Amino acid sequence: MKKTTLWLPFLGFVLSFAICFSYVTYFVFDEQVRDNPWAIIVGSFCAAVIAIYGAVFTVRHTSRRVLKTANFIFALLAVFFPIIFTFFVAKLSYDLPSKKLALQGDKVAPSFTLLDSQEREVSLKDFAGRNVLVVFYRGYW
Amino acid sequence: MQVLQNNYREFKKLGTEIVAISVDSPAENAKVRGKLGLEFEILSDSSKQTIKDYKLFHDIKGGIARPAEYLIGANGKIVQVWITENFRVRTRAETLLQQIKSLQLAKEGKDK
Repeated sequence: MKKTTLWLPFLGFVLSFAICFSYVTYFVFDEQVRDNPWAIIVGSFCAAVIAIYGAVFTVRHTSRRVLKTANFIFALLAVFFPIIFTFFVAKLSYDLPSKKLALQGDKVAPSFTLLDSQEREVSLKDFAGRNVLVVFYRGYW
Repeated sequence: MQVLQNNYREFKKLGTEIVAISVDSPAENAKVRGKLGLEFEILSDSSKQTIKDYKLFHDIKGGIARPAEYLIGANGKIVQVWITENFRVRTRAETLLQQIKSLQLAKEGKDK
């Protein structure tokens, strides 16, 4: 019996977590990966497979209950991250109102007067004579 | 936001100012600007009126804006709109820059 194989569920869990987490913290700023995160999905599922293999090995080759349970949980978590990630990428992130509802076309832009980060009033008129790119976003959280 | 900041100079070169709008408070926006080192301003639409005017209201989490980019011309008219259907994926900065550039070229051609 190879002792190292018993570590595989833990290794898979760490890898799976790290790969999924790297997207949120780093790759989300890389437009290439952000738009096309298949490598993250493939990578984290590979980590999950490693973890499952290790868990099956543990169940077959050891009678230590704690170890069996721990490795089972690690394997479960290692599978859980990629599934959640894939669900987020393929489904959740499309949860928006219909695109058609949004104001579009060759119209006068609705005016606004809002507070900036220093609580000064800023109006659309302030930009008259210049192009302005107005970026709406969901808020920082 | 980070991506726009990275390309802020390029937008400036094209005579285009960037303004972001969200429902966050000015204090939160100040924090975000500091954290990401943003040179452009973030406006706080806490009443959600502007978001509704642009018909971008998304009724979750107490009401937020769906992501969108509006290019508004010097005359105050909407020149171009980019609306994503996937909030994870925003319009790429290079796409924005390229289209602003080509719109300006087209306009210069017309003026002559």
